[in-house]
Amino acid sequence: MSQPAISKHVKILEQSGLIQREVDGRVHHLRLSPKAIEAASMWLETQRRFWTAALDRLETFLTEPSEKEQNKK
Amino acid sequence: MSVSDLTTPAPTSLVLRRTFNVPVERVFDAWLSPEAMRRFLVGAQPRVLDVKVDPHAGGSYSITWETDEGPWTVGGVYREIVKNERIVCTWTWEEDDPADARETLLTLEFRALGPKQTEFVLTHTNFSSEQSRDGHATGWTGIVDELAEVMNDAQ
Repeated sequence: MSQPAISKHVKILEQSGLIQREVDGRVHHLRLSPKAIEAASMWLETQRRFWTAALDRLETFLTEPSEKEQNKK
Repeated sequence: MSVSDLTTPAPTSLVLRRTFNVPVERVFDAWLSPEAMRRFLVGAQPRVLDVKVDPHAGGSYSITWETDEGPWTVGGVYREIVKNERIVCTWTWEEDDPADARETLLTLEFRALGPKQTEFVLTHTNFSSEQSRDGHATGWTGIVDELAEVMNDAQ
């Protein structure tokens, strides 16, 4: 991977808030931002709970009519 | 071990996979039917205030729940609807301050495994543009591999 490509990727990570940059003269210090990662993981956990509950109810909803059919027999 | 093995498409994508023992059209239809959506999307709340669906590419939808904290609304625009195969839409929670609202992307995929068996895959990612998400994923994977190499060389 070329130096410009690395710079580009670092910039994307910086814009996404996943890393923070500190410039000290010619030296750039890059540091992972625990808050951004925590926020991403919280977002994931919230969505996971929401969708898992919805899919459980979807499954119940989808199988209900066939249960009724079975009851008719 | 390559560190990027740990990442799925991007650090902020959720993928859920289910198999339902019903025909594919029943699973697909449920996601575009307000009656069905009232049953499974909003079941956790005591009351649904509203479900609106305009099921075609470019059409919009909105779902409103009644909660202890007042009404909650999620809405978005269908980007792609392919019968019995795929639904792609944006998914945005309404916020008190519209500037706080963040557009996310929801992809639903359906595949008939048999006459009465359907594989269903839900992908929810907090990047609304596929290009942007892929760009982030590539950037993330690339940089992690690069860092791993640099660190290995340094040892």
